[in-house]
Amino acid sequence: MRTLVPVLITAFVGVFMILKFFLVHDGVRTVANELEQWGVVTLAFAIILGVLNLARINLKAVLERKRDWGYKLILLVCMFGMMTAGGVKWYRDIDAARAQKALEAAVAANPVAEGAAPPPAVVEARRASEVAEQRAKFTVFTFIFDQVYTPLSATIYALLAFYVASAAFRSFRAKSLHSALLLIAAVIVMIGRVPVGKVIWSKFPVLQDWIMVWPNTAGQRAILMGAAIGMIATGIRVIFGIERPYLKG
Amino acid sequence: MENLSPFTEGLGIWLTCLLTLAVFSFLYRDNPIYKLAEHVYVGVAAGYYFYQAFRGTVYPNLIQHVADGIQLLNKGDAAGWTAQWRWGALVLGLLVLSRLFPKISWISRWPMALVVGAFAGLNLIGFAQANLIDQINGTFLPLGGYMTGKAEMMPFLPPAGKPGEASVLNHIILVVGVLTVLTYFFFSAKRSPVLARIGQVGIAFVMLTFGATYGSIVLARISLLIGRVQTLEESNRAEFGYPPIVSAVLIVVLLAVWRMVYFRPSDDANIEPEPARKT
Repeated sequence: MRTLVPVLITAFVGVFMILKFFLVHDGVRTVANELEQWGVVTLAFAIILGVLNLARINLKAVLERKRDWGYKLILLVCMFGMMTAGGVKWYRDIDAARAQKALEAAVAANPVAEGAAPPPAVVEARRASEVAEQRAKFTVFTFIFDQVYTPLSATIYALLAFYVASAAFRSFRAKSLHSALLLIAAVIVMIGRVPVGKVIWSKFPVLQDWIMVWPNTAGQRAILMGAAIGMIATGIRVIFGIERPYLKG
Repeated sequence: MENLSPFTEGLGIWLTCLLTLAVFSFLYRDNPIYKLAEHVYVGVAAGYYFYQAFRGTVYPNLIQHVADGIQLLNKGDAAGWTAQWRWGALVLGLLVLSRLFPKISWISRWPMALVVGAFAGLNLIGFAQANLIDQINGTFLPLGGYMTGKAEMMPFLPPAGKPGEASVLNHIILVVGVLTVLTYFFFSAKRSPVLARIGQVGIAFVMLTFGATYGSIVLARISLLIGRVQTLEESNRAEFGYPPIVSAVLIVVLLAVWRMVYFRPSDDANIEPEPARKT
């Protein structure tokens, strides 16, 4: 029950997804599309599960006053704050859509001759729609997203610039022919893409372009092909139950 | 940030500067200010993804879909029955949540098995098409009539000053590169001296690829860093009290106080334990 059922489900669904591609049959496609949607919804529930689990673990740590419980409390406040703000935004979006529909209904019910002033009902509906749209556009949710989430996200990635640069300093050493090639390609690409590269030597941008388009594409393509073959082999192994990653944990 | 009140705009700018500099404070060492920003980020991101999962997927693909089906059934349209299949997705979604209860957590394997099966099947075809067949098609091109569709040869060398343009030589480099790298990654047979030599050429291409990719990544990260610095520079406005400068001073003072008063070496995750001395 615990092992056989999941293996059968994987095999059935996996084979159906492959059949969907090869069989031009409405029934097969309908079932496969429905199964795909089930997968999409299940994945969304997996995200919800992750968030609930995060809340549970941090809430437990806060209630038991474990180490760093203050940070965990901040995490929970931010998380539930963002969820609430999201709920408010959703409500306002619905409100704006409703006001827009009301405006369209008012315009349809009160036809206006060209050049004439619109009737009060249309003016009122238009004003209500504009207000609702403004309220939907500027919410706490968008404020937090623009002023908290986006800067934090960008800065955390920007922070990597320092670590990538220091890693480059350690790895770019021409100890052998192959490591020299790595160094040369990286240096040409880096110098060729910044304005100072053209000032140093006008051919740097051209050379970096050639490296990116031809030798780099050759390597990338071969790696992609190898990865694709690996993916196909793993997919077949998973569908036929030889590999069962979902049974772990 | 048009249409925002001055207070809201100022609050946004202050938050952006404080949080940006709080994250950069990690360059000194792991510290409470960075930890605060980190937990704010995780909390906001978790709330955001919950919202996205619910509003972007669960609502339209499950609730709205089923509700539309019920509306059709109320109108007497039998097509609404098809939409009722989606209740199965709700059951699977709820089974995923069984993971929260250890005694029945094994049931969550069923929906996960469906997800793994569905995406293994889809990716099998998708990867075969996009990453295998399309790549082969794009690599092994006819040298005649490729550019124009007519039976004419592409130039052997690229035009002067444009080495990146398509030419016979460049295509030969591409084909040789792909074949030698594939040879290098071919581990299914014993490597003969000839294959080993070909593999060596493959490594050269792999190194060029990794070098070029690494160079691109370094530049991408540095451009992100420049973007952050530009944001700070644009936020340095007198009407809001020079937020980046004041935030930087505040963070430096707080870090100094923390270092002098509250810092314990055991809290520092960056310090590795000293190796045991030989006696």
